Amino acid sequence: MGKKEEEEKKDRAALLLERKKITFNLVLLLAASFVVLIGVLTMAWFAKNTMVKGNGPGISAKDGKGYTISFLENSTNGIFSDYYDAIREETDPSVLVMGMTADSNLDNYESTDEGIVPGASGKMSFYLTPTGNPVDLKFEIEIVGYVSSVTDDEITMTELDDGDLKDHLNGHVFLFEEYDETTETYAKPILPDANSKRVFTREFDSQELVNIYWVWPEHLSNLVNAYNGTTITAHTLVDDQGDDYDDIVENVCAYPTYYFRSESAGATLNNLTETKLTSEYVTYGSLYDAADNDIGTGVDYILFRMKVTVNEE
Amino acid sequence: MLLKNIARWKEQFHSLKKAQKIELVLAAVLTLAIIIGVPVYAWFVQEDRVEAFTKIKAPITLDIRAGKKKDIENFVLDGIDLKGIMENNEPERFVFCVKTGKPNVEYDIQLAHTTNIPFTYTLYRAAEVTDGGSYHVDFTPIDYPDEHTYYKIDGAALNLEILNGDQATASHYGRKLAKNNDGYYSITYDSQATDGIPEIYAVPLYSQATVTAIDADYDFFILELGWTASSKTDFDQWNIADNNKESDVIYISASIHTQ
Repeated sequence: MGKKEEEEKKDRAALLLERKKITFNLVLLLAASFVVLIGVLTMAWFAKNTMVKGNGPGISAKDGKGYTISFLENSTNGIFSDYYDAIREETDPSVLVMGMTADSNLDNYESTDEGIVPGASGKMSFYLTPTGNPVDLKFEIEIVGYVSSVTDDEITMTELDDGDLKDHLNGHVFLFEEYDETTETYAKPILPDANSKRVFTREFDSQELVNIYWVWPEHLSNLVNAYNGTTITAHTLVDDQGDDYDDIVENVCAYPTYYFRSESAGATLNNLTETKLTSEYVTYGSLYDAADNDIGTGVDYILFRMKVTVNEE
Repeated sequence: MLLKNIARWKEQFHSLKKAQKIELVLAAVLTLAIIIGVPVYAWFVQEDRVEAFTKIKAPITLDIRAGKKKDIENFVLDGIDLKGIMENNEPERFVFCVKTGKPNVEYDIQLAHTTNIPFTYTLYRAAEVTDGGSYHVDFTPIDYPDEHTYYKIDGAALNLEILNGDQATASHYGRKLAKNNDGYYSITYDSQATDGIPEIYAVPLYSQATVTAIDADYDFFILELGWTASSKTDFDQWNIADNNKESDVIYISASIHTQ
């Protein structure tokens, strides 16, 4: 081996060593960055984790955005929490669990409650408290269905992947902002949009008890006035002369798959109008009931999920 | 002092090899990204999420439809040709379907009917005939009499267990009647009623078959109404009597099987 070759070999070895050093340092730096990143995020998670587990008055959520959310005195997480816990890690462990009481629940408070069925109704309540200036908030609600199975005491929850059933949950569990107990009439429906989201906004000057009224309408005639003087009675949930009624009918016609079983219905769901719904009530009432049945047999649990943000619009 | 330090750092930086310079810049950029990124991310997730969770109670009765999954109003039992049943030995058959929503679920189909006419009631699973083969039922919806769907009996008769049957007797044309002294009777009728007790033919006879859902969709069934001729069920004698214009009420219900 010549001197020149020897020197070249040494140079190559030195270069290789240098590269190794650089690579090692880079890996070290990246690892350190990840450690910092994970560390900060974990800390943020702990700081954010405001899950409400216990009971008691004035359970408060978190501050820093100009308001707090808290639940009713002596509220609980509801009686189906074993099943709920099975999905909590998947959803977001930092979420607040809506407090349930005897008067404010989803038919999930007492041991005798068996869940919701067509015809069931109720309300869920929480306190919204501005911590400084008045706040304008946006509430975005979605309802997610789950199918459960239990094997050897192990609960498995599977989010619905059936498009029809997912759609039906939008049109069969109704939400309202207001309810008049005297006239038994609801107002301000929180209707689903094309993305299966239900949005309402509200301004808060001081602490307010927010009620969200829920109804699973038993019949299509609870939504559309199909009164015909004989077999179909008039019992719509909202005043059928008002804007709320028009909004509901418009929603039914715009998103028929939210309300009706589409199977074997074919073109019957195209170009719906109030006149068509009422004049062919036997067909549409039956398809509405069929969708009820499909939910009852195909969905085991539902998750009511509400996102609260400051209204930027 | 600071200027001196800066000058020294500059000198040190320049003395570094190209690869080391890249390394240093990369480290600085990454650190900055973390410092800026984390608060920005945290700012974006500034929102509350509130959740509530409940159960959907399964319906007590399952969805029953007529043939072709049409509304139950299309399950029409009128126009039964009694004489035809006897003379041609061809029972009348009707198709209906039941949906559980889940496969392999056990459910009960219950038949409740009055016993004015000495029919025999038999239940079969049904299968749609699509290839023009022989069939047992030609189903047409009321509003679309030209839309034919054909069904055939699929398998043996289901075990339709009578829950409240009395002894069949010749004086009752060999038919089973409902008992008038069992639990079903006592929870349905008030034995102390002052306006009389119901006629025994009007007391429904309950029978029930337990089946397993094939899939999440509809299972199809054929209800067969027949008449078994025997010394006890003399059709001619029954037919010439005043009661040849009798009618019966038939209920079919389906519910998830409970032990």
